[in-house]
Amino acid sequence: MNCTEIQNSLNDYVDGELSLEQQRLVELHLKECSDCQREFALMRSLLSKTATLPKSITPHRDLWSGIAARLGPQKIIPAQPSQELSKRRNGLAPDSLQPPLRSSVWVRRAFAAAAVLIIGLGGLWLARQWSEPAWQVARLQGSPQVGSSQITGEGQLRLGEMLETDASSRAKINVGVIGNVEVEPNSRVRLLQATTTNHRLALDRGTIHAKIWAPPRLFFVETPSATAIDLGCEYTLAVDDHGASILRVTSGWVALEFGGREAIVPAGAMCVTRSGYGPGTPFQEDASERLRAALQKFDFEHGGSEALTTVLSETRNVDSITLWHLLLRVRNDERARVYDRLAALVPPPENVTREGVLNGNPDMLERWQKHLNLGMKKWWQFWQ
Amino acid sequence: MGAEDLEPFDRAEDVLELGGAIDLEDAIAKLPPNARLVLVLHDIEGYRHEEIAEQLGIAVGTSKAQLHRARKLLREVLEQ
Repeated sequence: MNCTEIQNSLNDYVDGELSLEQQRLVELHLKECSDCQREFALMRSLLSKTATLPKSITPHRDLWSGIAARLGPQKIIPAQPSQELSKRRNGLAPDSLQPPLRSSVWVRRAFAAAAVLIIGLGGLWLARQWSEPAWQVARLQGSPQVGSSQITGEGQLRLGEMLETDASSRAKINVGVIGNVEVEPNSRVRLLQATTTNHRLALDRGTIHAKIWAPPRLFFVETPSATAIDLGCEYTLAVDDHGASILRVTSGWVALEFGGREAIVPAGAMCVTRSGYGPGTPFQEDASERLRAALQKFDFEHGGSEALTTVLSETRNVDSITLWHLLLRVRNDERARVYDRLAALVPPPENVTREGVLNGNPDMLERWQKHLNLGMKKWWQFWQ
Repeated sequence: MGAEDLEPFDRAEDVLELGGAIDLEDAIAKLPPNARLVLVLHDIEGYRHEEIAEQLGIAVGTSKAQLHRARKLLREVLEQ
């Protein structure tokens, strides 16, 4: 084999896709050829780095057994290492590249979700839809009700049906196979959509804890004042009797949207929504009381410059997500104040200029947000 | 030839300075959608070509071709 043939084979070589004889030929060549050695080193370097990036689709290990049990043993792929895995374990690729064994059903659903996200970008991909006409509900405490029926053990929540808990009851809803939602006392939720690409609940009042292990924008919760959009996360969402809500994100990200107004809330942060206003400005859980009060005035009570002054004086380095959102929300003549404060705490990256940000350049704003290093998984964020 | 024989090659890993994880994620985000999908599913999520091909309704060869293209583009972007 010459160098061109070897370099064309390196992808299959590192993936363990070559026959033993082909492997041997590649390895013999690599021993002798410094150019191909370098190509091989570059390939492995790239793969070792991509393999360290966080996974998005994989269900959490401790949740997988529950999914498998619901799907039934006849649908599970036997846990036999593939030829590829065996080869990788022979040291041809880093251990971290070894794919976990999965259920064929999970694989199908994960792929459907991923593939649907690129529909319209070309005719190559076939997206597959699986209908989920009802979600399973389990009683956690007391006597939760679906419609007029009490749930004593397990039940189902069908499209359009309502699940209610009283002061002493709690329930757990399986969100198809992509996650679950725990419904706290004095809550009411309704199932609005249940397809592979649109898992949608309404939370009319009360509190839910959502844990989702799927690509972003597959799970939605509509409240009277905003829609919460899962970006790969775990969160608590509470709605009061006036339709206002408060979101606390414990893992990943959640977007809140209402009437074209959006907030993107990372783990460790919170956001308040109000009917007619939509989402306010996100803030860190440990933000000072003065900062929270000033944000409330700014977001919902026409607090204006005075509230903004308090916000700017109260923000710390870790409050950069608050300042970044304010860049998009303040009046044009106030934006420089926010820019200067954020730049003092987290200097903008290269090619992000003061002038560009003050003019609302979306690319620069996005780059700065990325530079805040809050953990967004970019390949999913920009998928659509 | 075992894995230990490949160690000298590994010492050349620093040849490719990919920067931090953020730069890598950014580069992945900029890949063409089809190539990006296969790269994410194969190299990050850990699915095999057979699984990718079956579930997306494409040939195994197409999945491999998209992956090879994605890696090539990724290297080009990161080496700039």
